[in-house]
Amino acid sequence: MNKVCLCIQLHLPAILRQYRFFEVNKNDYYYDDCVTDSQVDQFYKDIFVPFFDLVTKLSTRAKSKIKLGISVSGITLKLFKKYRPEALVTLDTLHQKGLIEFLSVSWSNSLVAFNDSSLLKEQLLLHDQFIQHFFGTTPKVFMAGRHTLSAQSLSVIGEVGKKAVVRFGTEPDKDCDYYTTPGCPEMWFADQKLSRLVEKQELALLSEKNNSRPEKLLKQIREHAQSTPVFIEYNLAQLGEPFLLNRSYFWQTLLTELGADSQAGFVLPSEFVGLSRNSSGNGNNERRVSGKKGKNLWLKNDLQKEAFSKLVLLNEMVKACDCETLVRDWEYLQDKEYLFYMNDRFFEDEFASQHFNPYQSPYLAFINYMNILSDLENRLLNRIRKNEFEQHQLYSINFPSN
Amino acid sequence: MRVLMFGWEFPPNISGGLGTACLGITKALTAYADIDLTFVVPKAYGNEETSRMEFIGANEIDLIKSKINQERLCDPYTYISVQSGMLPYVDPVKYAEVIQAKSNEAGKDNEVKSRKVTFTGKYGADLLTEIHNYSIIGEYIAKSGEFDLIHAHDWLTYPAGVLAKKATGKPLVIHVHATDFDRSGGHVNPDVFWIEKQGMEAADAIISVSNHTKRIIVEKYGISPEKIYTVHNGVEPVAAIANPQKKEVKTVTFLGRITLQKGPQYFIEVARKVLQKMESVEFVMAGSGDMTAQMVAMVNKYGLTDKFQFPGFLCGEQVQEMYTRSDVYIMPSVSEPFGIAPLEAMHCRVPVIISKQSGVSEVVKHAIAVDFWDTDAMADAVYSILKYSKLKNMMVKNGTREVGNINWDQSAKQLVRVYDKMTKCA
Repeated sequence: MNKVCLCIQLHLPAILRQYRFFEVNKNDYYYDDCVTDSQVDQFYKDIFVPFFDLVTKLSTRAKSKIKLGISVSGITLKLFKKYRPEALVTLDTLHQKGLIEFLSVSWSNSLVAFNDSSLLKEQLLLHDQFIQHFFGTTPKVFMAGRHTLSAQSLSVIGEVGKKAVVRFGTEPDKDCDYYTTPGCPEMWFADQKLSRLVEKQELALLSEKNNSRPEKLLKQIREHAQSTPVFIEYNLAQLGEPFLLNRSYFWQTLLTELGADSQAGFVLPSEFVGLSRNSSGNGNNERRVSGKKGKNLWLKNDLQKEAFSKLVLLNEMVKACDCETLVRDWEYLQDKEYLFYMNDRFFEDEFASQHFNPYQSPYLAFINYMNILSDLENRLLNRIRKNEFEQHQLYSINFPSN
Repeated sequence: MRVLMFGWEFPPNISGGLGTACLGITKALTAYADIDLTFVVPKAYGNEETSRMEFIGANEIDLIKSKINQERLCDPYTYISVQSGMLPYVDPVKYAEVIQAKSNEAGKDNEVKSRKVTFTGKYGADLLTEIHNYSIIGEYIAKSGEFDLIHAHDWLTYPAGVLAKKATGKPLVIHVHATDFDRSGGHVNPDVFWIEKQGMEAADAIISVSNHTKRIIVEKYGISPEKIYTVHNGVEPVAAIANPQKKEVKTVTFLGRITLQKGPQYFIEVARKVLQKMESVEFVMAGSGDMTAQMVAMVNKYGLTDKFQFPGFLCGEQVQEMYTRSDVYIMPSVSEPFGIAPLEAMHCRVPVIISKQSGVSEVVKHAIAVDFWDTDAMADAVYSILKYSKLKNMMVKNGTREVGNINWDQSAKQLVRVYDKMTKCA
């Protein structure tokens, strides 16, 4: 069996407060600090601590050292710093021990950044700064997850120094020829199937539908990893359920067994990319395993598309604006998690019960988000007009008409 | 299985949702070949849609032929029908002759021919008397037939159901379409409460139209949840009027009784908030009720008269026209056991906002549910639906599909299961 690269995704959004249409132009504070605090706290206690305690414990016992890739957004780092700084200490300790490698992601968990090269560059550099600031390192591998990447986005990722990109899927996007894109970092198309299986097993544990055992999953991983290394992504924050005994048992078995496998073992993302290059004989590895593209949970229905259009518009306005407060709000508000809350699957009882959503329906998620974006739009507009007026005044002083 | 069903009203002679629900249930139940249905109302008008079931008006039962002990009835409201002694206009000489002739016939045919009880079948001041008299007649009907099960709709018919059960020993199913806690906004009428409670206690099974109502039955009436079965209402498809007139102004609609239960004042609050931000919107409060004058005064007080319409009670095609004209429908009920009207609106492709304190919120996902008192949230939803066509279109598309799957057949299927269980236990 070949090596396994397990990447843990950590993202917590700032929870938005109930913002009504009649508050637009009257109130520019959008966040529910109390609920955010409680969410971060709950995540830390119920999921983060038990999971990383398990990793730490097993790393001393397992024959093969446990290694993980961690993609943690800038927003999450800020929230940890504000509400649970202990989480940063834990991550730093794990990094010092060589158990984790930080992955490059957009600072805001942004989707709109993939629509605009300059924004993507800003986002990646800002994220690098944060990782450097907190952990003294710079990510080398960009985690694209399920995003479609344009040639421009790839160039930007290469431009900011990333050596490789890991992206789900079995083949390159039709409209982007990675191999001829100048400055394109090394691409790795990871199989999504195993990541889904992990998520599915976890959901089964939560719904108590069966006594989900990791043995079956282990068998599938071993089968997949016969010839090529295996990549698994796991979103630790997605389910928002406590890391209870059965989940702990599941992960303990999974990590121990994989670590104990004589030929397998874990690799860090940067090591993984190297392995994949060696196994395929060239830098542009094309996986042959099956696996459908992930369902788009962020940009599928009309509400999500409408909100996304507004984000595209706001992005253009932010470029013309130099106000720090507005830019800070923009950094938080472009989080794609707010689009996720509008997805159709929240109309399904099972999905809704398994995934965190502060709104009772995608319709309410849309209404609240659009109210907030409307206010931001007005503030940006006012600021741009003010700038134009000041420019005009300055021009008048320097070049009086008479 | 022969089912004796007691109701209070039946379309087209209705004043609320009870009759509509009875029509839906009976239509769906009569599709079952092994169910033989007899439906009793206080007053039959003769224009009811009653195919495939026996339909009896309690007002048609002859007290003399039936030998009902009339002392059990409340006399002042008893109507006696005899051969008429009235004469057309005649002159005094002729009159004397006629009177003489009639007196000669005395003893031959001067007896009371028939005697029937009058019922209005409405909800007037003598309601308790009518309920009592209806129960006596209901008992007689139950004893006259060979029924396997008795099903009583709403509190007005519970006494009839209870007496029928006592007289025949057959299982009683009561159908709670509403409780007095819903109707009165918490200011419960003690007489009504006791009628409801006695009915619930006597029943072998209770059908509640929602889990919302089930909770009230358990918490307020102290009934064991084990004998309560939630059977959500269905809805008959309502078609929007084809090719409606295009209009510049958006319409937000309230359609229901203008009473405390329906929360009309919250609708006006919503209007006030929305109109502060939007101009081309009109608000229509369709219906009638004891709070109408108060609501008109409230609209005047807020200075919204030119943005408000009170078209009164609508029925039939008028309702369809109203839905067709609407851009948003709101049901801000304080406590709504179910609420069929939002489903009708969804059939007519209207996005709906419903109170969380309603049974219908348990069965629809493609409506916006808010607390009845949260007029900020309600106004927010109205504003957004009117502002964002994508939101409106998505709600309409999903809502139409969703409501297409809600029908009375599903309700009837669940009812038959309860019937089977009860008759097997009996």
